[in-house]
Amino acid sequence: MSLQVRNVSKEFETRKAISNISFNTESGEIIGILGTSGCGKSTLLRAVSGLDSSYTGDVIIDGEVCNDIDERLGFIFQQPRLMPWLSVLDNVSFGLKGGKEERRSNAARYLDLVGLKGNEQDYPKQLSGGMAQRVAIARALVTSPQYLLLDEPFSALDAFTKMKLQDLLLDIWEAYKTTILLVTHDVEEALYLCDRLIILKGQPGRKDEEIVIDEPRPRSRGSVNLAEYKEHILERLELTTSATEIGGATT
Amino acid sequence: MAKQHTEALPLKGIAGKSAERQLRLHPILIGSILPFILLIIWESLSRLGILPSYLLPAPTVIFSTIVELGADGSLFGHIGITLYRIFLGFLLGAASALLLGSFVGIYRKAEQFFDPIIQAFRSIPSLAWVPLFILWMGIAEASKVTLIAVGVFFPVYLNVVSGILSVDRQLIEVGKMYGLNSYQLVKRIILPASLPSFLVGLRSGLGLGWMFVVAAELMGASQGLGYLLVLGQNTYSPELIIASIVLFALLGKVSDALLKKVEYRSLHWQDRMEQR
Repeated sequence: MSLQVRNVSKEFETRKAISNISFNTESGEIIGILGTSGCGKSTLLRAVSGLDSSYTGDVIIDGEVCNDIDERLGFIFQQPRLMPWLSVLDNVSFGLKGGKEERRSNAARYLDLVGLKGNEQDYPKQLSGGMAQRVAIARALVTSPQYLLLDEPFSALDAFTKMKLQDLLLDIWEAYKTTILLVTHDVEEALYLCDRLIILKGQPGRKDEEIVIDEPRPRSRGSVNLAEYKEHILERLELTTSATEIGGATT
Repeated sequence: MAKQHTEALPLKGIAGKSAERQLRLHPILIGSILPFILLIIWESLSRLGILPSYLLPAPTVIFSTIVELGADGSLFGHIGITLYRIFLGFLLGAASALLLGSFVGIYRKAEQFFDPIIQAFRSIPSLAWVPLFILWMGIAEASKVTLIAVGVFFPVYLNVVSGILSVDRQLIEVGKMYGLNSYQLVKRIILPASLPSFLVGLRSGLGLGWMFVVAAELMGASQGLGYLLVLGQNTYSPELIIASIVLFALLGKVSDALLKKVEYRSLHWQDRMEQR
């Protein structure tokens, strides 16, 4: 069971977004894709997810090349993207197949898991940003994907909610050992969550470095060891940030 | 609306619940003051003989005209046939607008194919169709219903198309991520997401429907509220004309309120200003 990205490049009409990116994941690993804005992190994730299929190179899931959307993958977006006309429970069961009752009871279990028991009948307009993102997490988990793709999932949240949800993600990972691919621009988040980091840099984004985070879990957010990693990464990134941030367009 | 006035409550808080109820009624009461005063002035001017009764009869005369029509039973026949026409026309117009609108909204190619001609037809004032419809379908029900349907069609169509085109692409991506096919995307995301716009279209379509039912019944009918207008004109009875106008206003208001209720019920999930 593994997800391989092999020589993936993507060109938009006027410019190249990412160039020749390759990496492998191992089962149950949390991989972080870290880079400044505009380096093509999200583009890469969209290619892996199959939402965008106009890239060159291969995404290989469990040994087979996969150019399309695949049910083994779950995706959590930056915004919760809930259907405003569905109740929380129906939002979670959105991607499930089968009978209504079965779907709902399944969804209720995952709502409980993300700490939203009792909010089943609420509508998205009644939720706070953190709660909405919890619903989105439950919605992604309910189909039991083997790989979870996250596109800056906590970047729109306040600092405390963000930490809570990061811990929630780790709990889920402990329980299901899902392979997680996390795109982020938050160095501390990447260091707190990931086993391995892939640093993207430049425009078009290229793989700059791969760092294994050798720090046992549970990690402390204030760990000295992590701080050293952080300094190293910042040094790595800052060499070119002045040039990239000016042109930084899409993430 | 009512909510705004509860802010004044703390000041009169001692008066308790009955005060709250009174305050809730306020907007309606405030709104009724002016019509009430105007009615009284109108009535007294008529009684004093200042307003000539052969041009503008007193409100009580108009009211009794309606009561008389009701008493001999003919009123319900007129209302019934008018409602039947508008209902049928509305249904036909709205249904075909929903079908064609969804098709044009969902398929880019269909938009390129259909939209120019639909826009061209839209620029024809709908009443210009009247002679042609009569020529084609005679003066009976078919031409009337068709005219109403044409009137209802355009606002509904435009709203359906724009509703679909403005569906959030991000939500569609969520659906794609779960492997929904095009049909499922339409059914589970695009249609529910464009429902608000569709309902707005229905309401403005209904408004136009009422306008066209008058036009249709003016052009020749033997029954209906519009026929009462013509009858009133031919028999020099302004009370009949005004009675018919009042009935149109009432029915129009009631039907719009019904649609508004449907809208409120089916859009309770929306995060809007008017809902606290």
